[in-house]
Amino acid sequence: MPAANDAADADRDFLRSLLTATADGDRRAFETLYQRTSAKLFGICLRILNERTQAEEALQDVYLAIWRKAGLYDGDRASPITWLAQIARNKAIDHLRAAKPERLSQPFEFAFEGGAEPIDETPRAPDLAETRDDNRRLQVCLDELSGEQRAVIQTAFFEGCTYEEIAERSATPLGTVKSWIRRGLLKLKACLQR
Amino acid sequence: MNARTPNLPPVPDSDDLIAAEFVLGLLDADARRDAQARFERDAAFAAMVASWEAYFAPWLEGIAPVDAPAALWTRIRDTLWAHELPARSATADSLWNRLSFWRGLAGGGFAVAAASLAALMVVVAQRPPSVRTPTPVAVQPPPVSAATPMVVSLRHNDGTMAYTATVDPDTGVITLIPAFMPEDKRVPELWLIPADGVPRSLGVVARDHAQRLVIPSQIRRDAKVDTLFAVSMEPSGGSPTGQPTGPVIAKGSLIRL
Repeated sequence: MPAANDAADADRDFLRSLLTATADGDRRAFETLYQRTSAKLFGICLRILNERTQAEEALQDVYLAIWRKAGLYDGDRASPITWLAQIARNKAIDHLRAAKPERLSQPFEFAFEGGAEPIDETPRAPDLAETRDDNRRLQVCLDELSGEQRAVIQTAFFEGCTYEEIAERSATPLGTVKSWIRRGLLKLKACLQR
Repeated sequence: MNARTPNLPPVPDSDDLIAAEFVLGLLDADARRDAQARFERDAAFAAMVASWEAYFAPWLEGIAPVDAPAALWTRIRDTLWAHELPARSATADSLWNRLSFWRGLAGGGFAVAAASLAALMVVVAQRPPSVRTPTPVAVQPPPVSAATPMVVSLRHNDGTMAYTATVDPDTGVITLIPAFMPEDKRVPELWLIPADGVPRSLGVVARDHAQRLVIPSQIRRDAKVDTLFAVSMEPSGGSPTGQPTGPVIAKGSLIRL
């Protein structure tokens, strides 16, 4: 789909130029960057925090961080939207850690079902199309893990759960949870690096 | 997992695993802070973090976008630049100004509002810091303007107070303090209703703690004496249509003190 790729490239280049201008203190560029990316980043904050007021506070922190750190963006490392999305996810987890977890009472059910956390079936944003191959690779490697390992790693990613929380919610000793997830991570990495 | 996995020997710590755990969010608050500090000063560790981030990046793609509330951009902009607003009088920040503000409030015809505001202000002042929003980047406190403060009491239909709020007409900063809000699985959303009668959302608001909002600049001039504010109950996440969809449970008009 060359047309889609062109659109994705144009989008990426535009975001990159907005980030560069933001790093130079261009407020108008920063506002445009906000308008182009805030829905995506708010979706991420909301997914992790699962509470709107907190997600709004996290998103505010995200853009304050972007304003300060735009100069640190390294175009060789990640696409602009991926870089921004990672800032959003990080800030959302910071907020999650600052608040007291209220989810301890929600049991983890996947431990026995073995089902993977479904990924939202939303249409893919064109500016993220570059990651499609990476996505396939990640899925292939995840398939090498047990269903439970896959599910718990995915849940940790999307909900930002700590080891303690997973242990509590699945009524499993902390040490077992930790070594079990670490084995999954090592196996995943070995596969991804092949 | 306990039924299916026998006791596993521990997997020893390694920088790479800690990087992965940091990226996934598995670390508790203390360990996360340590990892964050290392990320900032240890290039080798930062590179490990970056590669784990890259491994999981495709998952970020699957997260659906959700429109952020319109007021949020104004809040971000004001946090960064509101201190540059002109026309602050030299005495605006003085304690005397604030005292006379509160004395005027108490001495006027609004003793009930003042009492509940003052009582709630104490609660606000005593709320422990860092529970909700440690915002290390918010370097500048919201400006105190010299304009006469305005207040609004949002009352339930039976006359009981739902929220009280002070509104700074210059900066658009609203300090909103809940009084009585019954339990409800829906969420309260605050609306400003200008002369044209079309409600403008100021966002979903808390029912159990004070919060500060900023009126979007495009409608800030509509916040004047007699402007109506209302609270409706909306589905989690706020009105899906941009207009109130649930019952209006409280309302009140802006008055100048």
